[in-house]
Amino acid sequence: MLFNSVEFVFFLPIVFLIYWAIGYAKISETLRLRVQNAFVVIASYVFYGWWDWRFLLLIAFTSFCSWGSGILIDKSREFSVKRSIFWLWLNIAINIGILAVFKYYDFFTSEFCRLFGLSSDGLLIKIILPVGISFYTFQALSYSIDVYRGNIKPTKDIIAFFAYIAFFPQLVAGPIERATNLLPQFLRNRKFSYEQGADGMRQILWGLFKKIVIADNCALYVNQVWETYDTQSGSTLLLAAVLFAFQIYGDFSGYSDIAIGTAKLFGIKLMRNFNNPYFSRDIAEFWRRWHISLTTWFRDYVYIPLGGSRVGKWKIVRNTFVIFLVSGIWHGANWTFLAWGAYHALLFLPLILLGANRKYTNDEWKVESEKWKEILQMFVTFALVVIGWIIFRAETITQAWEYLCGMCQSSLWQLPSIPDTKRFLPVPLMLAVLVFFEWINRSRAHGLAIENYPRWARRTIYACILTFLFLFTNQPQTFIYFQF
Amino acid sequence: MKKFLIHIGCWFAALTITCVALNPLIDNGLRKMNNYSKSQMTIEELLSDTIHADIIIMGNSRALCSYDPIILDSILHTKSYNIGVSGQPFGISYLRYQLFRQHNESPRILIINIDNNDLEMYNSDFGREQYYPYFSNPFIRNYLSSLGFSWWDMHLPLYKYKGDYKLVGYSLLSLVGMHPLPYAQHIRGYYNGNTPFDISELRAELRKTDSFPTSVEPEAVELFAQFVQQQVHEGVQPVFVYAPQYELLRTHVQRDKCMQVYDSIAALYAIPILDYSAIEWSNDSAYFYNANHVNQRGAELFTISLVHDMDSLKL
Repeated sequence: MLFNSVEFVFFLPIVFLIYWAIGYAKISETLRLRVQNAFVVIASYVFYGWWDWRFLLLIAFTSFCSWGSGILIDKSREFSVKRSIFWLWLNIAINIGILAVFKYYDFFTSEFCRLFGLSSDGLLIKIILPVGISFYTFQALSYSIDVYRGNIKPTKDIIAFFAYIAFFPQLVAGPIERATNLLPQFLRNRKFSYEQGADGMRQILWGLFKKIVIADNCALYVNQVWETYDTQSGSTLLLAAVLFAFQIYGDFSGYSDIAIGTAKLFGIKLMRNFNNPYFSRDIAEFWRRWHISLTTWFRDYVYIPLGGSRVGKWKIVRNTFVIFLVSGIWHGANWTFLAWGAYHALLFLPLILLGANRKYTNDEWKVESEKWKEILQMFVTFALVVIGWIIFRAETITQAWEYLCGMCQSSLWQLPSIPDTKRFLPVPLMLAVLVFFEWINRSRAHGLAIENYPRWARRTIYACILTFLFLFTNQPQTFIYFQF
Repeated sequence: MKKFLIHIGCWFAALTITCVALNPLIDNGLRKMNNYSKSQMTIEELLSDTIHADIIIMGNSRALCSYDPIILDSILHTKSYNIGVSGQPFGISYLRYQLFRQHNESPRILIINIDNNDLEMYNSDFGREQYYPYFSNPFIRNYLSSLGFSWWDMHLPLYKYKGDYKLVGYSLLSLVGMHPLPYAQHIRGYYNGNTPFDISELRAELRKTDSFPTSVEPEAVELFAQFVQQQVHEGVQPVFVYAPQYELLRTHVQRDKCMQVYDSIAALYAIPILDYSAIEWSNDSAYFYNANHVNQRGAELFTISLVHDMDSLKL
C-alpha cells in the first residue's frame, strides 16, 4: 500500500481508531499492551500484504530468526562468549543470505559469468525483489548486534518484537530504526498526546507535499529527459539533473516525513531521517543530514568496528571506501551504485584526511558574518551531490558518462527545452515553497513544524498546502526507495 | 484524544463542504465555457436539444474535415450536423452519437464515415477532461467507467479535477465572464483544415515503414454491428462512406481486414457503401492538408460528389 494512495486514506483512520480504542480499553495494562501490539502486527502485515502477501512469510521468518537469536545470544553468553558469537553470526548469515539471494544473486552471477565468458542460462533465479527487504533486514540485524554488544536486553515478547520489525509506517522505506529506540516503545504503554498527534499530522502533510507536489512533478520532466538524454541540450540535461536532486529528496524525505508523522499518531517516536541535506556546506555534513538512519547504521555497525578514523591513514582510506561502497551496493545490484559510492568516498576522503570532516556539526548557519561564503559552500556541495545523482540515476556507467559529457556541451548555455510545459509550469514555484519552508524551519524537526505560529497563519498555510496538493498532483509515481 | 478527533473532524468537514460546493461550481464554469475543442462539437452542444437534424455525420477526424453540412443542406434542402471527433475511433463516436440522441430525435440519414483506423474502442488520449462536468449524466458515467475512469473520479466531489490546475483556472475565469480559450472554429461540427500539405512527412514515414496495418478490435466490431442494427431497427438509413485519402498513403494502407467487416455488416442490412478513397483527384495534394485529411477545397468537391451519389441512390 502506498502512502499516497486512496487505500491508505481509509486504512490509516481505521487503524488509528481501533489502535486507540484498544489503548483506552478497560482491561489490564499487560493485556492491553499485548492486544495493541498484536493489532500493530496485523495492520502492518495487511499494509505490506496489499503489495504481495507471499512475502509476509519472509518478514515473519526474518523476525522470528532475529528474535530467537537475541534470546540465544543472551543465554549462551552465560556459558561461553564463542557460543553467543556463533548465534550472532548465524543470524547475520541468515539475514544477509536472504538479502543476497533476493537482491544480489542474479547480478553477481551474471557479472561473474560475463567476466569468464560463461553462459548464465539456467543459473539465474529471476525472482522479484521484495519491497523494503533492505530496510527490515538491517533493522533485524541491528537488534541481534545490539543484544550481543549488551546495548539492549533481549525481549521474550515475540509480539512486541514482530511489531518492531513490521511497524507499517517505516516497514518498506525506513527510517531504519534501532532496537534501542523503537523496541522499548513497544514494551510500554503508549498514551496519546494531542501535541504529538497534531505535529504528526503536520509532518504527514509536509511529506505529502514533498512527495506529490515536488517529487512526482519533477519526475515527469526528469523521466522525459532521461528517456532521450542523447538528443537533449546540455542545459536541458543540467536542469533534469538538478530536478532529479529535488525529486529524490522530495520522494525519500517525503516518505520519511509521512512515516514519522504517522508513527507519532500511534504514540511512537521514530528517528529523524533527513535534516535539510541540501543546505550542507560540505560532503561530510551532507552525509550527516541525508538518510541519517542508514548512514548512522553503517557508522555504528561497519565503520567503527573497522576502526573508524582512529587508525592509520591507509586504514582510514580503506574504511572510508568500504563504508561508501557498501552504502552504494545497499541501494541496489548495479555498478552505478558502486560508482556512486566510490564518487562520494573520493569527495569525503580529503575532508577526513585533513581532519575537516566535523567542521559543521550543528544547525547554526552563519547568517551574518560569513553569509556569502556559506551560501557558496552550499552551492558547491549541492553541485557535487547533483553530479553524484547522475551516476545514481543512470542505468549503466556508460549512460552516466554520456549524460555527463552531454551536459558539458556548448549547448549548456542555451535555454533548456521543456517537453511538457503545462505540467512543468508549477514546478519552479513549488520548489521555491519547499526551499523557503525548509530554510525558515531548518533548526526544527521538519519543514512544517509551525506549532508556534499564530492560529490564523497555521490554518492559512495548511489550506494553501492542501490546495497545492489538489491542484498540482500528478500521475502517482512509486517511491524511488521502494526498489531498495 | 477528544480534542484531536474534534479538530480532525472539523478539518474533514471543512474539506468535504469545500469539495461539495466547488464541484458543481467548476462543472458549471466549464459547461459555460463550452469550448473544450475549437474544431469539433462540444459535449454541451451534443447534449443540447436544438440540433434536430435530418442528416448526421459521424466518425473520426476524417469525418470532421470531409463533410460540409452547409453544402449538403444547400443541395438536399435538409438540416445536417457533423458530430465527428478528432483522433478517436468508433467507441468514442458511438458515445457522441448516444449523447446527441439523449435530447434529439433520430436523424433520417446517418452517414457513418468508415475508416481503416476506426474499428477500435478508444485511444488513450481521448480528452477525458471534457467529460468531467457531465458525470451526473448516467450514460456518460456508465460508459466512461469502462474507459479508465475510476469510481473515485465519478463519485468523490472534485476528485476528478485533481492536478488539473489549468482546467480549474479556466472554469473560474469562465464563471466571472471571461473566455480563456479560442472560440470554436467549426461550422455545425465541420472543421475546415487549411494548413499547407507537407508531403515530406509522409515520405519520411514511408521510408520507415512499407505499409500501415490496421487493427480490428472484436469489442468494437460487436458494438458497431449492434449500433447499425439498432439504427436500422429505429428506421434510420445508415450510409457507409469512405472519405478520400491521399493516393500515396492509400496505396500503403492495409484496409482489407476492416473492409471485410464493413462489407459483411452492410450486406446484412442492405446498407450502401460509398467508397471515395480513390476519388479521381486523390493523387493531387492541392486537395489535402495532410495525407489523411482533405482541405476545404477537397471537402467541397467530395461533399458535392457525395450528395449526387446519395441523390442517385434516392436516399
